[in-house]
Amino acid sequence: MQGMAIGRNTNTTSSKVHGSIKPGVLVFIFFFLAGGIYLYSLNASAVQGYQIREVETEMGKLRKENEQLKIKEAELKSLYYIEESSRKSNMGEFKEVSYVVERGPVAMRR
Amino acid sequence: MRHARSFGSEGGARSAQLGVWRVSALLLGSLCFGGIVLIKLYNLQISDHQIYRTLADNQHQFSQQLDPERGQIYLGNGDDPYPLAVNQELQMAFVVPKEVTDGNLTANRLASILQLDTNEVLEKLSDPNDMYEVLKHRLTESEVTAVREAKLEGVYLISERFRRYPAGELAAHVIGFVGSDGERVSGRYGFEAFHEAELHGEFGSLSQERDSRGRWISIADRDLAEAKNGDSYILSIDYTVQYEVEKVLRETMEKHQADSGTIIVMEPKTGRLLALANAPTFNPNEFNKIEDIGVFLDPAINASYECGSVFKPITMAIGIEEGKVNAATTYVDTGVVHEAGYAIMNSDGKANGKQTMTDVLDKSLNTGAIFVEKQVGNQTFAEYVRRFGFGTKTGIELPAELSGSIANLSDARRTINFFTASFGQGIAVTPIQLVNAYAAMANGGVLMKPQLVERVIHSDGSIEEVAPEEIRRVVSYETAAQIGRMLRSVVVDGHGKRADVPGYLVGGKTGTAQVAKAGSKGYEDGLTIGSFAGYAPTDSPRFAVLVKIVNPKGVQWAESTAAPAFGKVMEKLFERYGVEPTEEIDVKKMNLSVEKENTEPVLPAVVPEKKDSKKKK
Repeated sequence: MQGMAIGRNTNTTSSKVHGSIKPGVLVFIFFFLAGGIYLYSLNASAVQGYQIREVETEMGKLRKENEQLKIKEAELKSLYYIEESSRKSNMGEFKEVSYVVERGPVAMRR
Repeated sequence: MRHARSFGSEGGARSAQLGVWRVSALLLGSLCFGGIVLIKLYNLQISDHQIYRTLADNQHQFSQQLDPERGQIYLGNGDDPYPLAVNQELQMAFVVPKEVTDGNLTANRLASILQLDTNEVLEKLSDPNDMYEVLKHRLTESEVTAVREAKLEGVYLISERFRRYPAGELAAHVIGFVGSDGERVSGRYGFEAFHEAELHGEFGSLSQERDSRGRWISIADRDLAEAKNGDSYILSIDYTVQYEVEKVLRETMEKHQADSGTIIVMEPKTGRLLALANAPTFNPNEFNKIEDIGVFLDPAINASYECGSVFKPITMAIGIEEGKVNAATTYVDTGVVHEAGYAIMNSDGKANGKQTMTDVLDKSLNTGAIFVEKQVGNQTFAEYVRRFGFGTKTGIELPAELSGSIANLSDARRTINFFTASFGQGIAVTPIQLVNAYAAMANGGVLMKPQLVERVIHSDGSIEEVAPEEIRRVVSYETAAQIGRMLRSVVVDGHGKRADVPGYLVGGKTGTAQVAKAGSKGYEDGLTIGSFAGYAPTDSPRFAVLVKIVNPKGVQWAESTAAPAFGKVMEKLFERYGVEPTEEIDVKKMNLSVEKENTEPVLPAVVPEKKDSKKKK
């Protein structure tokens, strides 16, 4: 009897292993995986939030530097600044323009 | 045994009673405790619900007003507009006194780094109950680095947004500045004030949940209403022309030690302003250093004056348009016109005999201008003056524009008012009105609206081109052309020789006006305003210019003050825009520019008859 029972049980197990998996297990696995993916994406997006913030901070810093450089450029290009700089460099305004008189062909050999 | 039993039963009863009491006390205690908890819960959840809700929200929620970026203002400069007004982020240093451990050390270090007075800093550190004290605004880069490196306890830096004007005082009256009125920061003068709403933009808001450490929770709901940045503007003012014009004005002011001056350059075909310069001026970056706030007002639009003979071409254009006179029409100049008990004389007091209308402008004859006005009639004259834009605002996009005053022309029976108005006395005009009227004659008789904005760059990136705006036709093309030739004659043969530019057809008219006394009748002794208005080339006008010099010393006549400045400005304009010369250069005429200056004083044009007769006697 015992031997038969054992044999029957073995057969039953073997039919389960080789047959279809219970739907409950599939649902469990599905929810387990979905939960894992959800947690992963949640964590990833949370981390990305900090990364975005860091990038935004960096962008802000660069934008600020760019702004400062543009202002500096405009100040240096200011004609009043150029006038003042040339005055400090002892550069004077030209009083008379002398033109080179063209004699003969434009390209001349010396 | 009985005793023991009775003692035992008494003890049991007491013990039971004690147990009951204990249970009762426990129950009572529990009830009290429960009651207290309930009351506390009631307070927390119901009566003080809103307070705690707000507190919790403040802890969990991050809310912020989002400031819009103020629009920038550029000057026209070919394909590379020059940034005249930009935004700049600078650092402010502040101190929290209660966090400072060594006051003396901190004060000494801060005073050294920020160039402050040590005692002043010590005073700021003295009150530990003070939340914070501002040490210095607008720190330089080296100051910021030094403060950071010093690592002083209780000293912090914070960013502040400022308006920056990289060109300093260039076009200061056009641009104005941004400042605080004690409540809010906004445009206070000039273009910054006129277009405050558009430049400022609209506030936005951000609301987001945050974690226990105050960090944003990126996956939580975010309530964001983005701020709308302000519009940026590209003005019609030419960067290089503005600089050159300011330079000419400054030199003229210095040469004649004048009180103030104005130069306006306009493109007649479009009404676009190429330059608008005033002196004295100010640096908008340092507007708080100016003691007299009157300097902030733009005399080109905020000040009206009796312009004098520079008005005569307007009178002449009216006469020609009405068909009453032309360039060759003659009249006899007796040197004086009598009206309503007053003698109106020429500026030099002379009688010139038979004169043409061209002579009237060349010699600037008051009697000739009166002759034309008489021919036209008072009502018609007043109507044309209005049509030229006098007495009404031009609509330029700058604040507090004045409309001038032609109230004297409202009563057609007061003929003397019309006589004096014909040569620019008794009516008040603004420089912008005057140059616009000249620009109308240069534009074939069509009056344009003075245009200051060339392009608007909206916050969404779209670009709006601003089209020129025609106001009305004032005189015919033929009349305008004839006036152009007469103005050219003034420069060639009349009082405007110093305004000429060799090789070009430059036309214009001088005007030396007396200054009306404030609050009483008559004019200020020895105080004059020299003006020169005109355009070039007269056969195809590209530029209309007005030069106004107030109270020049030494020489009073506009031919010696405003006219040379006009010529210099025109020369710069021809160079800048590559206008080719059309006329042969006459060396003899060039030498006329060094002729002797007229140092005679300016005589009053209108005098009461009785006084005049006494003088003659």
